[in-house]
Amino acid sequence: MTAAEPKHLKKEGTKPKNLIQALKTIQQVEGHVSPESARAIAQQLRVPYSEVFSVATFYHLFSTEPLGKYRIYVCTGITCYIKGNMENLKYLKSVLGIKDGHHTSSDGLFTVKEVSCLSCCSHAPVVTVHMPDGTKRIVGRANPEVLQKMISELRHLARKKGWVK
Amino acid sequence: MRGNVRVRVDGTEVEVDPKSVLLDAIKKAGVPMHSFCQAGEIYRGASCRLCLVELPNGKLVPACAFPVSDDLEVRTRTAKTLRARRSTLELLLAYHRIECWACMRKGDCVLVKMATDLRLNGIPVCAECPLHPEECLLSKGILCLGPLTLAGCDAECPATGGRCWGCRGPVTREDIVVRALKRYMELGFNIGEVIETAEIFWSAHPFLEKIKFVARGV
Amino acid sequence: MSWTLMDKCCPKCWHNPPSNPCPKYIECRVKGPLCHDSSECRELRARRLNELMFGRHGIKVRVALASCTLAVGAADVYDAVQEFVRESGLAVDVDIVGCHGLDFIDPWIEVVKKGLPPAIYANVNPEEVSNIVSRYLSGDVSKAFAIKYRTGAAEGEFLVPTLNELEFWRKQVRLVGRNCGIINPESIEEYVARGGYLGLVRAIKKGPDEVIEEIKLAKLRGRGGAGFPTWIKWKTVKDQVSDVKYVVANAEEGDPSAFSNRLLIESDPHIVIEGMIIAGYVTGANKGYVFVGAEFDLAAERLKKAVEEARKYGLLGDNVLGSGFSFDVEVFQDAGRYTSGEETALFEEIEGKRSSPRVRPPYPVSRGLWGKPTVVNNVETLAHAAVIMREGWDRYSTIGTEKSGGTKMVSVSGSVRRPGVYEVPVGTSVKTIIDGLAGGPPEGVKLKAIEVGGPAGGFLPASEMNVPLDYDELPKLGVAMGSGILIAIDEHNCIVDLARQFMAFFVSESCGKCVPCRVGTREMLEILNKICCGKSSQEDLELLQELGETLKNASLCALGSGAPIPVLSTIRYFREEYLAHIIEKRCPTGTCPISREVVKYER
Repeated sequence: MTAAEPKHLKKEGTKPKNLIQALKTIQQVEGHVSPESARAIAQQLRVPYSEVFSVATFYHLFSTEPLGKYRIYVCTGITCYIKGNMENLKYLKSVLGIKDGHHTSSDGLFTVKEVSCLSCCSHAPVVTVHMPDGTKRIVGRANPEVLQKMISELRHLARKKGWVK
Repeated sequence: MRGNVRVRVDGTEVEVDPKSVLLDAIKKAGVPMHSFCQAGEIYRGASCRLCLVELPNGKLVPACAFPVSDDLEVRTRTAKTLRARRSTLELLLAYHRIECWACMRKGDCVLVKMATDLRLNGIPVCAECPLHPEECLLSKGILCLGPLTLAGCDAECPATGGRCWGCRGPVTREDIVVRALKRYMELGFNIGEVIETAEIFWSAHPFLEKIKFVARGV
Repeated sequence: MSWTLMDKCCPKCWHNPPSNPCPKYIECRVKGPLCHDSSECRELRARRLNELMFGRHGIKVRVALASCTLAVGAADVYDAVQEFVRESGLAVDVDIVGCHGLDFIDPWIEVVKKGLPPAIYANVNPEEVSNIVSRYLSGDVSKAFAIKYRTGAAEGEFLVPTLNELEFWRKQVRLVGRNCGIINPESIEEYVARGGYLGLVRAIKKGPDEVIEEIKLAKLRGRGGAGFPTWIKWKTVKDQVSDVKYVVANAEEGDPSAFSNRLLIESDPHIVIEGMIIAGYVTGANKGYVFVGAEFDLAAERLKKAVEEARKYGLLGDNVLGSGFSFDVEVFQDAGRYTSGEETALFEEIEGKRSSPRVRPPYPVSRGLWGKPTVVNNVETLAHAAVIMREGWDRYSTIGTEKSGGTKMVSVSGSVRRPGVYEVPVGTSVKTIIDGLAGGPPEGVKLKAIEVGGPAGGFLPASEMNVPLDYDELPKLGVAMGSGILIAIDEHNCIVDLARQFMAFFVSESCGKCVPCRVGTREMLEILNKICCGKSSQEDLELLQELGETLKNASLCALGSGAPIPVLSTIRYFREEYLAHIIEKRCPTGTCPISREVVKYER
């Protein structure tokens, strides 16, 4: 993968100020920031590797481990919290077989994470799905029933694309 | 020197360069003030919050980063500043692995100076002991209660060759006790003997029970 | 593309940016043409204005597309409308609009036909679309949620209230939000047709000093939370001697449960840009950044589109409207961190570093982004500036309180019947907003507390609800205005548990720079965990307060000093509930871990 880096990062040039932009690009293209990519960024932008790593682990947008194809973010903002999004989180983790302390399902299809607020509090509880093509699907008034439907739909999509059997 | 500014520190007026920060003025005024910036290498710009001083409007500002201005008046030892500093240091120490008996800063540590200055519990006598790990009484096989005893006496006994008997009472933090007892074991001391020695001064201290409890677990 | 209002009407129309910038450009587009006299061109412009209202064929369906409506299926509704139009073969324009802020009617559509009252349909299902539209076109509006005005021509019209007859609409004063849910946010033409950019034109006519004077007389204070008078900030930056200055519009809105900024940008991005250009013109800055929150993808997209359009028509770029002043805007999207919303931390992020707050002084007005003087304003503040410049300060200053003029957009969520964004005069009581606008709690539920101002705001007991929403009044009760958040909390929620949830948020979001915030939040969370699990003693309550005071006094930035406020304010008003957890080891509402069998205690 390392060989492909400079091509992705053409736009970012060699200025250290573009570090976040570069990380965003890598996150989008590769799905996560691997140590190799981080090193490539460090070389190209002339920033210490430690700095790249420090920034990459600081922001929630970047992940240093591979994520699933569908990334499900469960809002734990206070409105969603009182409307019961913790139950949804638990439900998602159990139905996808994700253990405590882990985020990604074993088939690599789903990642479930908490997020602080999705700014759709009127329709709490809210869950959002980042699709592989970069689009986003917001699900308001979520409950296990809705989520069940959503997951089977996503599974169906994945099967169509041949990601799983 | 042109355009020096006048700053009042706890009532003492000093003239300093306009480009300096409050801490310089405080030092110049001869007001004792501990800060990490004195330790040099670990300066991270106003993030430790241990040199907070009070402005006349009641706001607390870090002396190490606050620029001086003419007729600025600060007070360094108000109830508010001491409380904030003390509490912050307590927080810092809560995540500090206190193993003063084996620390390279032994005897010359800003943290310890601040902690004893602010009368914080949680620092053992070893922190003030000038004996280096190789000369440490413990490493010579002498049962010294330094690791378990509260600092603040400048480690007078160990410094002059006598062992510490724990006259100042125990350090009441469980994690330190655990590490201290482990240290005793490493050096081949009998824990029972350590407890017996501790009982001389601490037999009535409620924390002794806790130490005994921890000792059973180690 | 067909001809738009922004284009020249005939070859005689000369001022066409960017080649020929002209101060009268905007006025000419709407009232014009002003550069030459031609009844034909005048008619053309008037016809186009009419078209924007009713569509090219006299019928228009507007579908609200914003994050809030998309969350409940507006995309499907949009598809259904498109399909209906295709299948029926009717000549109907389908357009998108932003959101009113009345989120309880999502997803909604608006259908207009010349001669009929424009009707809003609430909670639309994709299946119902064809039925709704054909019924409306046949002249029957009885199924509508509301109509905009009466014509007397439609069937069942008097069964349906007009918007102004609805309490939650009438009681609002919509200044910055006046275009929200009315115009297409992706079209500069509709913004200009509604009087957009006239504020900028007037500002340029007046000159920087007079603009600052007007902002001062309008009593505009920062809407981001601190309530700092905007004119002082602008004047200070204006007086700085520097060749480079910046304007930063802060739309990070990291506070959980705040969504008014998102709604404003998604529904009317141009008002923010107009405000930024005014700020830039006044202070002498030539570059602006809009700092958009990580979750605001749609908002960022619409802003980028708006910037592009504004550039195309010479409102951004060199020689803005022939004033000799150049300004450009860049949209920067946050990578997701609560601290990024802090005014100095966002500089760090734009500069490509971790968003940790900087030490102040120096303040941003003298050394901000890239070390240059910088104006940082909340997007709503900038939008207000645009409104003031368009409407004039005299009307604006009559709204609001003596010390703080104008309105504030408030995000209301939680246990209320009508959650949404409402724009009310500063100083409106919390009770009016919760009971009057948001409809109060649902049937059979009693409110216990109102969370005001987000995580760093604090909890108000329901008995104190008469307090006016004002920068000076709220702090007296130990809470803060914050970014205008009201969360209604009913009696089924455990206050201690909520305080714990807030603290957990701060623990995960603290940037880790200063000790009190990094370690203090953690320790406070641990104590709250203990309380919620029934392993605490009364000393813990004291310790919480002590720690809270430390955080408040000793932290580096406002986020750290705001972190203990939820805890401190709940201890102040709901001490009994804490004591029930601590002494009786029970939770009065039965919702927190203490009342569950398995108690999980984690450090």
